[in-house]
This record gives sequence, C-alpha cells and structure tokens, in this order.
Amino acid sequence: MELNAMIAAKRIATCTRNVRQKLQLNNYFSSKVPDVPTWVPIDKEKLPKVPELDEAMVNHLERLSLVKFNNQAGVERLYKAIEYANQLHMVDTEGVEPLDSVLENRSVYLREDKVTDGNCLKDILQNASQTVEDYFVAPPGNIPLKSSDRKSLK
Amino acid sequence: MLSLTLKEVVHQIQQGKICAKELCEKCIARAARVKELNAFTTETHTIAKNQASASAERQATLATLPLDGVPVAVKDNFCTKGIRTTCASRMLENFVPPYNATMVEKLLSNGACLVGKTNLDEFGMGCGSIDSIYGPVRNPWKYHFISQSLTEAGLQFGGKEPHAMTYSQLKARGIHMSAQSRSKVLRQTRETETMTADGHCGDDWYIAGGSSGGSAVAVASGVCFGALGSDTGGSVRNPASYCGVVGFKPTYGRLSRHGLIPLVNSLDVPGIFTKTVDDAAILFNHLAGHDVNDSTTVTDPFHQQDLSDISIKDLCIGIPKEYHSPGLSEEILNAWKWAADLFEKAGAKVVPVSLPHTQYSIVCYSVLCCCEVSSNMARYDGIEFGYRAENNESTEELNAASRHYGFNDVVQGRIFAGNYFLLRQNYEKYFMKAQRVRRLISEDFHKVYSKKVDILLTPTTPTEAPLYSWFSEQDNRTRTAEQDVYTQPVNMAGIPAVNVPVRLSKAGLPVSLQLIGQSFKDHDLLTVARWLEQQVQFPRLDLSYLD
Repeated sequence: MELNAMIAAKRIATCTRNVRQKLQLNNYFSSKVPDVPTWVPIDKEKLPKVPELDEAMVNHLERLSLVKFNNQAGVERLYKAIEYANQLHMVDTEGVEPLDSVLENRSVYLREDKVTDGNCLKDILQNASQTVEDYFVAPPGNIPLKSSDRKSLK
Repeated sequence: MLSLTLKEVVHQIQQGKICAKELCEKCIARAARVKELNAFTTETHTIAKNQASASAERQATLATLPLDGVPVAVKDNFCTKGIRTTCASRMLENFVPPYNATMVEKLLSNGACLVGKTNLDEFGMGCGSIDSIYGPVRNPWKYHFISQSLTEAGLQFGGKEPHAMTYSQLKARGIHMSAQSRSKVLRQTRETETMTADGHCGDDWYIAGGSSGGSAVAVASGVCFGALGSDTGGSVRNPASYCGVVGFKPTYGRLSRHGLIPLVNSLDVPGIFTKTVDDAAILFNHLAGHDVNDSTTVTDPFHQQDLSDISIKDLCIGIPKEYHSPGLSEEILNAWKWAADLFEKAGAKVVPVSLPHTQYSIVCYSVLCCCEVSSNMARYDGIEFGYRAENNESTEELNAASRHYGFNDVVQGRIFAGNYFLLRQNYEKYFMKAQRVRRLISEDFHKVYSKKVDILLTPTTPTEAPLYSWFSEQDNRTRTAEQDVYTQPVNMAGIPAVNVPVRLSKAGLPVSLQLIGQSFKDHDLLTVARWLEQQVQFPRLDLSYLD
C-alpha cells in the first residue's frame, strides 16, 4: 500500500518534471505569478448608502473648508468620494488598533525647548502680500462665511 | 556625455576627464531641445552655471566634493532658498522660500548643480502630472519632437520660416491650451488620425505619470543625472515606471522631509530618480540620515554603503497574488512572470505569498489622504504667504476667496472630502476605520517578511504609459484609484520600494516592475534591484540625435 503510494508519487513527480521541462523548452512560464486577477468582487448592495448631502451639510463643509463648492459638480465629486470610501466597511477591523504612524514603536527625536534661530523678520514678511509696520494685515475677524444661496442638493 | 550614468559622471569628473562647466552647458542645451516636454516649472540655468564654475574651481584644486558638478533637478515642492517654489499651484505661484529643504541642502553641499525645479500635479495630488498650472508633462518615449519635425520640414521646404512653423506647431499641439479644450482637440484628432508606422501618435502623446512626472522626464531625457521627487502613494515609482528610469522610495524615516511642502505627513517620503540602481544608491548614501529639523527621521546611525554582489541562491522572493488585480495588462503580467522566472532560474527561492488586505489599501489611502490633505491645506489662508484675493470684507471671506482661486478642483475636492470624513459623526466611521485598515495592510507585509521572505516582486503600474487623450477622459480620483493600486500599500507600511524598468513593450514603451523591501533594509533592496537590472539590460532612452 505504502509502496504503491510512493511509486505513484514518484510517477507524478517525474510527470511534473517532464511537463516543466517541456514548458521551459517552449519558453512557457513556470511562474508563481497568478494567471487571473485575485480580487474579490464587492457587492455594492452590502455597502452603506451615502446620506443625502443637504444644504446644511454643504454649508457646514464650506465653512470648515473655507472653500466654496463651485457648483453641483463639486457636490457630486464629494458624493463619489464617500461612495468609494464606503468599501472600507467590507473589512472586519474588530479589535484592531488604528495605525497613525509607522514609527509608533520608536521614540522619535525631540530637540531641547530652546530658540535656535531668529532675526529673520524680512525673510518671513517677504512672502506676505500686505504688511503694515512689520505686521501681517487681515480684514475684520469673527464674521462667519456667508452661505451660498442654493437649493437642496442630492 | 549625457547618456552616461551618474556614477560614471562622478568618476570622470573626479578624474578630471569631464569638466563640470562643459557638462552643465550640455545639460542646459539638452534642456532647451526637450523644452516642449514641459518637465520644468522653473529653470535655474544661471544658478547651475555658477555652481558648475565653483565645482570646476574645486576640480582644479583637487579638493572635490562627492557630487561635484553633477547636474540634478528637484521637484517643485521642495523649498529652495531664493528660488520660487510653486507646487504647480496658483496658491504658491510667487512663493520664494527663505531656506533650503534639507534634501536640497545636502545635494548642494555635496557639490551638485541645480538645473531646475520640476513640474508636478498641483501639490502632488495626481498620478499623471497633467494637473499643473504650467500644463501637463509629456513622456519623452515615442515623443515626436518639434525640432525633429523642423529638420524633416526643413529638408522638404528648404528651411523656410522655421520660427513661424515652431509657433504654429506649438499651437497645433495645444501646449498652451486649457486641459479641457486640449483633450477635446486630441480626442478629435485621435478619431481621425491613425498611428504612424514608427509608433508615434499624431498630435497625442504618452503621459509621464505622476505626481513627480517632471523629475522622471528630466532624468529620462538626459537633462540631469539625478532628481528628487516625493512619494506619498507612488508619486516617484509611477512616473519612473512610465518613463523607464529607476525610482526609489526609501524607508519612511530615512530621508528628511524638512522643507518638503507636506501633502500627507504620515505617508510622504522624499524619493530619488536616476538612470540606474547604482546611481540611486549613491544619492541615497548622500541624502540619508537623521535631521534635527525633522523629528520623523530616525536617530539610528546611517552608514553609507556601496552595493555589493549578492548570492541570489540565498534569496527568497515573494510574489503577492493580490497584485494581480483587475486591470493589469497582459504586457505587464508577462513581464512580471518573466522576471519571477529569472529569479527562479538563477536559483532564488520564489514563493507565492498573500497580502490579503491589498484590495482595500487604495480605498484606505483615499480616506487618509483626504483627511491629512484637508488638515495640511488649512495653512493657506492668503495672509502670511501665498495668493491673496482682493476681498477685505472679513477674514473668512478673504480666506475662502483666496483658496477658491488658489486651489484647483482636485485640491478643493480633497479638502471637502477630508473635512467630511473628519466630521464628529464620521470620524470613527471613516478616519479611524481607515487607520485600523492601515494597520492590517501594514501587518500583511510584516507577516510575510517574518516567514523568511526577503523581497517582494510586483508590478509598479497596471499598464505601460497611457496616451494623454485616454488618460484625461476620467477625473483625477478615478485615475488615482486605478494607477496607485500597487504603489500605495508600501507607503501604508513605510517600507522601501524601487521601480526597475525591465523591457520595452510591443509599442516600444518602458515596462517596469517594483521590488519591495523591509523597513530600514534599503541597501538590501537596492542590491537585489541591481541584480535584476543587470539581468534585463533595459535599453535606456537615448535622445542624443536631438543635439
């Protein structure tokens, strides 16, 4: 029984070797690279729905971003980005800690809390468009960004 | 002279066989010949000439520096003292940094000459180097240069009015057109024109890849011998792949990012473009090490190391099966198989491995990238530096107006998405979720390496360089999702990786592969990359016919 198995195994081995030799002769690949794509198709039905991006949300994001959505295209772009990101919910991350730095296990260098440079007023102010007596100039503060006038966006 | 490698140039300069000034002149002349590739945002030829003169003086006294007289280029998101640094954005169009990035400082203090700042996607956000206020970068491979057309036309028409012809041809090629109208014209021409016999595509051209496309093109076209790029999700390896040069992304923490205008702090790494792996190792040796100005550079001592010969028989190469994703072209797949077999035939152990979370890495990347971008971009308020709009109603109105004009759609879109993912009600659902997935992606690599696998072999890009007309049909987000599939997982784990061009496709374009190494084993990775490079004997682009 055992002997038969051994003979069979040997036969298979010889056979494989022959095939491989033949493949090499024909310049075929004996490669470890998979022949077909290995990705799992994602069932979009299983993903969370993207919530409606209503006017309140758009205004809120404009205020946070200090950029205005140009038009409907900007909102659609955001919608697509969220829809795409929702694929993350296919991954089981139960009990997995977030990774925010690949150097998490090292103690990074911190320098002494001492002033090491200075006297560079000119250098720093040279890139400002408006200055007055070595100050940056800003218009009145504490006035919220006006919301754009628009209908509810989907 | 311009087809020499950096190693050869260094050697010949040290021996006095090449004069630094003459070399610099030749590079500048080549830059003029290939100007239509649009690789540079700012040319610094006078600075380069002065630096070359200083090198020549040192040559005369035999007190040379290690990179003396070597022409280099730097991506226009590294700060350069007294030289505008734009990130190819209107926001920083007039920004002149008062200091050098550490990487720039190291190049210059070792004697290199800066020939220019290279073009990129605005703030490095993109993978085609087409979203720049200076217009798109063009791939030199299979490119039909105007100077060539002029020579041909000159033969036919007896060389009449060459200048008029240059202008009309520039116009016909849409170099100064907006992206939208350009792609419309190109689509029309593509429908009517067929490819010429030598593989040129009428008025269309191949993209350089991105976002460091200008640096890749500068090296591939012989304008310089090495260039700096930055790699957040593949921005060095992707254009290196399309332009047929070596593109090296070192371990996170090895090269300083001080003065590199940040995109995604937890992923950004300075990268190196060269013609050969040996050249990349030379630059890496001179650039690596701790920087007191960047707390994310590690403090372990760094030792310069020449690449030694290796015994390939002791090596275990992993082939991650998930890197055969939908969209991988036949041409790249076959090259990947071919290279895997090269290793196996040489006696290396080649094993299939699994990095199960690869598929989700690009999604994870899209979330982390937007979140960190929205935070990083908050610094541009129009007041201390950068573009300032004419609005004095209120600070917030001024901020919004400046940012609206200063940022392109891609940047604005990423800021919105980032701020959405970071909303209190979404923070756990998207940002923290992505960081958890990031750990799984990173652990995939560490698990494989703990099983005695030394190096991973994968594709760099799913295809060879695509045509501009095709590439510009889809938006930036869609293209990034396709193009960065094989490159960004490496950034998630902070490990080193290098692009090695291996052969030419049927269309005559570079086909490249990626080797991925282990944390802080950069030299080991380069050693294996050099072995592969020696086996494949990639035919580098030679544009000497333009001179």
